[in-house]
Amino acid sequence: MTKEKEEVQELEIPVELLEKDPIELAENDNDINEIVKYLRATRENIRATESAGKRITSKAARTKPKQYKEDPLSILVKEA
Amino acid sequence: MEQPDRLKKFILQDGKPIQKIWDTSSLSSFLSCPRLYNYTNLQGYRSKIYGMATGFGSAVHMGFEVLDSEKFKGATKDQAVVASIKAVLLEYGEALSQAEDKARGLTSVLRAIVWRAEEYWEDLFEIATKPNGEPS
Repeated sequence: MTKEKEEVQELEIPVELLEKDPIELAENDNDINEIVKYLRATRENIRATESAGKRITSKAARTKPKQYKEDPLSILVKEA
Repeated sequence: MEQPDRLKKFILQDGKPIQKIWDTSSLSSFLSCPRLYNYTNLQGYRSKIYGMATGFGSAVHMGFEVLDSEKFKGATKDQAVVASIKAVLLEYGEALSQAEDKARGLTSVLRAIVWRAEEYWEDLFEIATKPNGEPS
């Protein structure tokens, strides 16, 4: 069995926006929407990590693991 | 029979507030320090100093409250999330951004708001209303 190298796409944390002055940030809808977009993507990644049966780590929110096309159990049975 | 606007937790007796309905927060406050209970629960004093642990909780609570009340008013999910984030930024943003514990910082509160909206916006539970029609 060969272990395929996973393609990892890492989300970029909007550090500049998160470190911005909170009052200024509150007045800028575009910046808030950028942060919301990033946080939604992290939620998606966590869901994907859970469905791939992997451990939730601090990195899990920023990366989307490779998803199984079939049920993981049926893949294991086929390979056995 | 007229429905009361709100159950009265406290009543005034000879001008002094007396608690008639007890909850765990009031009890634990009294047990930890009766004088603290008197100041905070009966007389309504609130600390002006931002407390790390309680401040984080209050910020998350406020964010969720705005999220739910905006939903009640008919806002879309995106509108409610933005309104909630703005409210938290204005009220707690400065204190949260100075938090030494990153797990209790601004990003964590914003994440809690966005993730809650993602998970529970389509929830079947409805927000209860007070007799005057406002969200409770």
